[in-house]
Amino acid sequence: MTGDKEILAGCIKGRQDAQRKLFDKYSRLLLGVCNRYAQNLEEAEDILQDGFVKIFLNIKDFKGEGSLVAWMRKIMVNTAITNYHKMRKHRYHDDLEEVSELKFEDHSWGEADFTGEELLKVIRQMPEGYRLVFGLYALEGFKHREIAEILAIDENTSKSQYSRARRWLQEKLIKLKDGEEIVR
Amino acid sequence: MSERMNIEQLVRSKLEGQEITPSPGTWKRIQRRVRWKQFMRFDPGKFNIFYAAGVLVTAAGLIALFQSDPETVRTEDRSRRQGPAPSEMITPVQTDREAADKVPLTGETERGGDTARKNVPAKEEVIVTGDESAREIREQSSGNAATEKPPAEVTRETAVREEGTVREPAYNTLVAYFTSSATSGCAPLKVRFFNQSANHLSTTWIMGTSTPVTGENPAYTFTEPGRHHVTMTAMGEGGQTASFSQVIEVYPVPVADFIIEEGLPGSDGPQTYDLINCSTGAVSYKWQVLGENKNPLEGWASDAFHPSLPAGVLPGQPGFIRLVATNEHGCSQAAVRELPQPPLPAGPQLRFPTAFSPNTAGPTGGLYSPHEKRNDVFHPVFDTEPLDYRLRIYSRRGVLVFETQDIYRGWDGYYLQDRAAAGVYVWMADGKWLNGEEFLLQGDVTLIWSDQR
Repeated sequence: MTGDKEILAGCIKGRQDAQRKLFDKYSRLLLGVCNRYAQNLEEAEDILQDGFVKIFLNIKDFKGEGSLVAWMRKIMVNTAITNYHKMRKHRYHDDLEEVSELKFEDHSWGEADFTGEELLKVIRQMPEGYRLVFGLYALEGFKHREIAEILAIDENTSKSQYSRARRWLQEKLIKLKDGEEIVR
Repeated sequence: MSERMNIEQLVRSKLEGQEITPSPGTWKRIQRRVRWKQFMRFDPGKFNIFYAAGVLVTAAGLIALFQSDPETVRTEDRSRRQGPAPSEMITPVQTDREAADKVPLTGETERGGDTARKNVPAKEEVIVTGDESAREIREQSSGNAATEKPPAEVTRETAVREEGTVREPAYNTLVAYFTSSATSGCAPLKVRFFNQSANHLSTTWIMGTSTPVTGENPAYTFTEPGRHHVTMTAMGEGGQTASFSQVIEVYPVPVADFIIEEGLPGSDGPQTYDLINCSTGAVSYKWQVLGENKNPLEGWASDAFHPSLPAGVLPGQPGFIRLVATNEHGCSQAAVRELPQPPLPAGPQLRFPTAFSPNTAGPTGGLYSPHEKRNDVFHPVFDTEPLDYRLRIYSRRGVLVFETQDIYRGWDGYYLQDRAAAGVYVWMADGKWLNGEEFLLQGDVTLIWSDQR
């Protein structure tokens, strides 16, 4: 097994076998990341390709701060966002339905309530704006300030979108759990 | 038992590490684009469009200069070819046969002449590792050759192993190998497999009876006891395949089960609970008392099959009994049952039967033993003896047929040495308890002669 360090050194030199190893080692995980921001697997693969090209061309800029995986994840997420802007021409608020600002009771979930597949399907049904903010915050661990920067929105918008996204998802999952809605 | 979590935790737990295998052509497309972009970008250390342009200009200039002397041009040409090699150029691809032949050689030299395992074409090479339960089978075959040749002729080779590690073989030699987090254990056994293959593009895993999965380090939970073969097939760049298998042994788990029977209260000795073991598939048992919060309590434990628990262990508080049943493989299961709540101590009371059937042989005098469960003397049942006590029994006509102030003497059913008539009698009991509280009870009782109908 080749360690990340050797792979990284090889990639910086532009060695193809090292690039190959990096791809083999992380493409599955990173495609999983892309998949959360894409409408379908095809789009996710496009994002993955763009992302890997950026990774290989810019890998010498990786300073070794934090892990290589985290760095690559970030590139993938940024690529996904760029892709989103390209495809949807910035119509950020349009796809959001009006949701009242009432405090929503937090539901607690069990590990076995849903499979990853089911969750992903529900997340894919989320309105775009919700999905991006939710994914960036809940999964990628970005701060609202960073999200606001990435998506070119107000920080407060990010916060309120997030709480709406959360509520939207929660309602969907409760319905799904009660069997009212079958995810296709 | 399972932890509850909020929506973020749920989503993270399910999606954080989710892996999807990219479609086969992805790498090729990325590679093409990277090469093109690298070529188009200026980088003094690499062969790129600027170099190419420079070389062309130089060559054109030289050709123009030495057009009359072809020999010089050829030399210049050669020197260019020997110059800095393009970084995209990779080691020449070895053929499968070369690759297969190369491994044992390096293996032997590295082991310093250890010829214990040679590249002998054999059907199957079994290596017994430190863990006896893990039988590891290693094989390598050319994907193309396998379809053309009979299976017996397919080249197989030994694992290149030393102290549990794999030697990195020469580049491009496909080696299939994996390790696992466990080779045996109790069901359900979750095992993670770590792919240690070299020069593989993809791997496919077959675990037990499951459908094949792809992935680098998959995890699988074996629920069924037994020996499960796990086979990983790695595919190399040339389409050749190599497999490696391992046996995962899953032991059955016993079923721990028991019921709690209350011993008879109040009679002789302190109350006990009888723990009736209903477990199956176990060879040893451990019993424990747990407190209200299910923490183990000291004072009583047992290894017996059907132990008896003295009630005094848990005076007046709720508790649980835990049984851990273990089988010969060391797999165990626990069962926890709540102890029945001991009845709240009620105030002292007297209870009278509603019928009795005297001794037909003659008067007994009415003395009885409190522990004897007989019905030939009419008397109250009680836990605590009253301080004062009087019992009077009247016939329906109002005749006093029996009277006593001795609680240990009841009515034997005779009146003036003769049988009293069968039928209903009215009784009245009065007196005082030890705490000074007075009582007055009354009721009726039916006298039955067992030899009359």
